[in-house]
Amino acid sequence: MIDLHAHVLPGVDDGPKEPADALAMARKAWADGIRTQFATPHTLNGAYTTPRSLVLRKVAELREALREEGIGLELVPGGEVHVHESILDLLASGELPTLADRGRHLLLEFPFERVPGVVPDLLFRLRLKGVTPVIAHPERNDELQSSPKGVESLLRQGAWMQVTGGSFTGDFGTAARDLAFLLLDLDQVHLIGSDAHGVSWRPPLLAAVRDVIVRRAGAERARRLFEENPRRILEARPRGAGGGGMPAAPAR
Amino acid sequence: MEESELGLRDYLRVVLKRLWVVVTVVTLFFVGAAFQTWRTIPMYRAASTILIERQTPRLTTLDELYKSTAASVDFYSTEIRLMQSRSFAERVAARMAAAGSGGGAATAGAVQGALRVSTVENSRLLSVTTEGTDPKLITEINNAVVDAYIEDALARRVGDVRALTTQLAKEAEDLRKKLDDGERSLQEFKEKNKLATLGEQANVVSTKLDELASGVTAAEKERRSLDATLDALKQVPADDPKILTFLEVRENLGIAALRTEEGKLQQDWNEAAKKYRPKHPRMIALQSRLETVRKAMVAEVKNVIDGLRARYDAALRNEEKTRQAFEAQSGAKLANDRLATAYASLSREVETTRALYQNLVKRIQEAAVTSSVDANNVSVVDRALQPTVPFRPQPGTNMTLGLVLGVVLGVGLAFLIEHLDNSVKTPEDVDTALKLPYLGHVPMMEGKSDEKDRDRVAFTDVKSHISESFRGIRTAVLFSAPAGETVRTVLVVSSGPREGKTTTSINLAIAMAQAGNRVLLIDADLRRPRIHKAFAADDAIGLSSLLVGESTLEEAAQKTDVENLAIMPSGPIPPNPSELLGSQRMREVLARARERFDRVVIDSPPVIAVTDACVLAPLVDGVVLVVRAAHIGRDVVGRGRDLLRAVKARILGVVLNGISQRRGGYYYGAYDYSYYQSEDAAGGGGKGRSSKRSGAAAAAAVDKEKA
Ligand SMILES: Nc1ncnc2c1ncn2[C@@H]1O[C@H](COP(=O)(O)OP(=O)(O)OP(=O)(O)O)[C@@H](O)[C@H]1O
Ligand SMILES: [Fe+2]
Ligand SMILES: [Mg+2]
Repeated sequence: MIDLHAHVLPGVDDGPKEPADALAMARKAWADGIRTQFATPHTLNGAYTTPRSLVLRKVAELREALREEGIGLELVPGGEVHVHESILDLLASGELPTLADRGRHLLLEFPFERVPGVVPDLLFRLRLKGVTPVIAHPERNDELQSSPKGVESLLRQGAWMQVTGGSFTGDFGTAARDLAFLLLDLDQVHLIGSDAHGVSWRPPLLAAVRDVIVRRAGAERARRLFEENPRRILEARPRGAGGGGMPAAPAR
Repeated sequence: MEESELGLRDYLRVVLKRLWVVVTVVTLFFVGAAFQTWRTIPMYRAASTILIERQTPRLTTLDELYKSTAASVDFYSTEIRLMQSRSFAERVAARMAAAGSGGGAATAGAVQGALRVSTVENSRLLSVTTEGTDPKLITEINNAVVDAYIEDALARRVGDVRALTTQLAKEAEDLRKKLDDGERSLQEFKEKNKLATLGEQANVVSTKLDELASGVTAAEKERRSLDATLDALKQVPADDPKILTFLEVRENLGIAALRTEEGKLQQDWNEAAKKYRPKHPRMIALQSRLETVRKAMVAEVKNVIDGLRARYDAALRNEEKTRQAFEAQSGAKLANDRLATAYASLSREVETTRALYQNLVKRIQEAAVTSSVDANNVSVVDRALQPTVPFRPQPGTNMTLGLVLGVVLGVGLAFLIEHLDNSVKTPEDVDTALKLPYLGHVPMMEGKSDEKDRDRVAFTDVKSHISESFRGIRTAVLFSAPAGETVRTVLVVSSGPREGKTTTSINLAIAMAQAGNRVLLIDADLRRPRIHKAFAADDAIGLSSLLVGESTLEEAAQKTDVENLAIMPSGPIPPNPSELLGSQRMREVLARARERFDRVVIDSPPVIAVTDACVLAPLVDGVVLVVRAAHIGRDVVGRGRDLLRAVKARILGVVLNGISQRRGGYYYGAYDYSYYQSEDAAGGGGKGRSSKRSGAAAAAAVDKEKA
C-alpha cells in the first residue's frame, strides 16, 4: 500500500518529535502493510512553514535512519500545503513542497470549516502551471460536508480527492464518514492517506481501511486508490522535463 | 404552431403525428369493448304490454267506491310503483311457486330484480319487461307478473265491493240462521203450548171469566142483603110489633094469620074488659088465648129468623163457591195472556229478521252485478314471448361503440397533447413559433447507449443516417450566410443545458473536416468542458490557458485522429469564464484561428444559464441554435434566441436534435438520406435526387475554394 498523506518527519510539525518516534511510526506502518509513504508535513498553515528544501533534507535523514534500522518503508517527499496567497510564488521559486517533488501534484489543505473563495482561482492557476491539486481530506471539511456538491466543482476544475483512511472507520465523526462513503460510492475519491501524526495517536494504519474499501467498492478500486493513483504521482513527469506531454487523467 | 387558420391538413398532420396516441386509445377501447362483450353474461329480455282502461263504469250503486281510484292523476305511476313493490313481487313469486313454474328460481328478489315497468308514451299501455340470464325464467316471471297484476288490479278495483259482498253475505248468513232459529222456536212454542188457535181459547176464557165475575157479585149482594136483614132483625124483639115492618116477617103467612087473630082477640079482650072484670072467666079465657097467640107469633118470628139465617149461610156458601170459580178462571186467563205476548214477540222478531235478510240478499245481488261489470278494466295486449337472442351483450354495437369512442377520444387526446405540448418538435415549430431558419435535424441516437459512441458518430459511424444528418447540417450552415459571405466561425449554442451543443459541434466539425476543410473545434464551454474527453485528450492546456497567456495557440490546438480536425480543449476551468471569453485576447485568438483554419466551430455553455455564449456570439460569423426536440418549451428557446439577438448575434438557424422516428415521423421521410450516403461513400453509385446533389456539390465547391 502507498500512504499518500503522513506526518512522519520528526520535529517539523505536529507529527513525531524525535527521530525515534518517526522510526516507531515507520515500523508500525510497515507492519500494517504500508510499503511507500508520502511525508507530507504542514506548510503555510500559519503554524508551520516547511519549505521544500527542509522536506527534502528531513526525508533524506529519515530514509537513512530507516535504512540503518533495516526498515523497508520507502519514504517519498511531499507536503500538506494550506491555502495561502504565497503558494504560487513559492511554486514559481521552487520552494513549495509538491508530492514526490515532481512539481505536478500539490496536496492542498483547506481550513476545516470552509472552502475559501480563492480556491477556484487558485486551482485554475495551479493547473495553468501544470499542477494537479490534490485536495486533502475534503470529507472533513464542514462546508463540503453540508454541501457535497462543492466537491463536484473542485473535480471539474481538475482536482483530485484524497480521503483520510480514518474517516471511513468513523475516526472523524459521522459527517466525515458519511461524506467519505458518498464520495467513494460516486467514484470521486482518488487517493487515501493515513494522515498519521504519531505511533499511538493517529497511527499510520491503512490495512483496516483497505478492507472496508474492498468490501464497499471492490478490490479493483482499492488497488487504484492504494496503488495505481499514488503511482501516477510517483511517476509523473516533471513539468518541462521534455516530451511536452501532459499528465494523464487520474484513474477513477 | 400558430393557433390561427388550422386547415384540414394541420388536423391531419396532428393526427398523423400523434398517431400512436390515437391508435393506442382506439386499440384500448376496442379491446376493452371486446373484453366487456366477452365478459358480459348474456342477458335476455321478455316484454309484454298491458292496457288499462281508465273509464269509470256506470254503476247504479256503490259509485262512490270508484271515485278515488279513477280520478287519480298519477294513476299510471301508481300502478308502476305497485308492480315494482316488494309485496307484489312476493305475490308473483308465491303464485309461480304455486304453479310450479320458475323452477324455484323465482324468488321475490329475483322477480323484483328482473322486472321493469314503464308507461308507453301517450297511451294507456304499460310495458312490462323482465331481464335476466335465463330466457325461460324471465318469460315465466313476466307472464306471472302480468297475470298477478290483472288479478290484483281487479281485486283492488273491486276489492271494496268484494269485501262488502263478502261482508253482506256473512251478515246474510247470520241473518238466515237467526231467521231459521226464530221460526223454529216459534214452532216449538206453539207445539209446547198446544196453541193451535190461540185466539179462540182466549175468547172462551174471557167470557167465562165475565160470567163468573157477575156470579160473584150477585152472590155477594144476596149475602150482604141477608146479612143486613138479619142484623136488623136481631135489634127488634120478636114480640115487638115493629117486627112486622120487616118484609120477611110480614110476608110470612103464619105470622100474618096470627096477627089477625091477635088483633081480634085484643078487640074482644078490649070489649070484654068494659063489661067484665079482669078476673071474670071470660076475661081470663080471653087473656089466655091472647097469650097463646102471642107465643105462637114469637115462635113464628123465630122461625122466620132461622129461615133467614139459613138463607144467609146458603148465600155465603154460594158466594164463596162462585168466588173460587172466578179466581180459578182469572188465573187461567193470565197464563193465557202471557203466552200470547211471548208468541207475539217471537213472531215479530222472526218477521224483522226475515225482512233484513231479504234486503241483504237484494244488495248482494247488486254487488255481484257491479263486480262483474268492472272486470273488463285491465287487459293484456301482448303476452311475453320467450326471447331467443340475448339483448346484451350486442357484440356489434359494443365494438362499434368502442371503436367510435376510441377514435373520438384518441383524436381528442392527440389534439390535447398537441395543445399542451408547447415544446419545439418540428421544422414547422421552428419556422412558426421561433421564426428562425431551419438548418436540419439530428435523429435520436437510439442504438448508441454510450456517450462516447454518440460524441463522434460522424467519424466513428460515417455511413449512418445520423452522420448524414450532420453533413446535411454542414451544408445548410454553409449556405445560411448571405451571398458573398462565408461562414468561417460558427458558435454552437442552446438555450438550456444538455440540448446537444457539444454533440452537434463535434460532429459538425468532423463533417466539415471530412469535406476537406481544415477545422478547429474549440471547447468554449469553460463550465463543463467535455470535448477533450470525446477525443481522449488532456485539458491541462487549452482555451483558458491560451486566454491567460499561459500557452500558445500551437500548444492549445491539438491534432486529432480525424483528418483536418484540430481541437482546442477548454484548458483548466477558470473562475471567471465569461470575463476570459469576453477579453480582447479572445478576439485575437479567434482572429489567429481564422488565419490558420478554414472553419472554426465553437462549443459553448447554455445561453440562458450563463452569459458566455452571448459574449462569444458577436465575435463569430454565425450562431447555430441547437434545440432538443420535444424537450424544451418554445418560451425557453425563444428566450435564448432573444438573448442572442440582443447582442446582435447572427443566428444562422436551428438544429433540431434528437428527433425520433416514431414521434412526428411523418416529416421524417421528407429527407432523402441515401443521397448523402452515396456522396460520402467512396465511389458510391449516386441514387439520390439531382436537386439535392446540386446543393451538396455547391457546398463542396465552396469548401474547395476556401482550401
Ligand atoms: N441526437 C441525440 N441522440 C441521442 N443522444 C443525444 C443526442 N444528442 C445528444 N445526446 C446526448 O445527450 C447528452 C447531452 O448532449 P451534449 O453534451 O451534446 O449536450 P450539451 O448541450 O453540450 O450539454 P451541456 O449543456 O451539458 O454542455 C449527451 O449524453 C449526448 O450524448
Ligand atoms: Fe494532514
Ligand atoms: Mg456541452
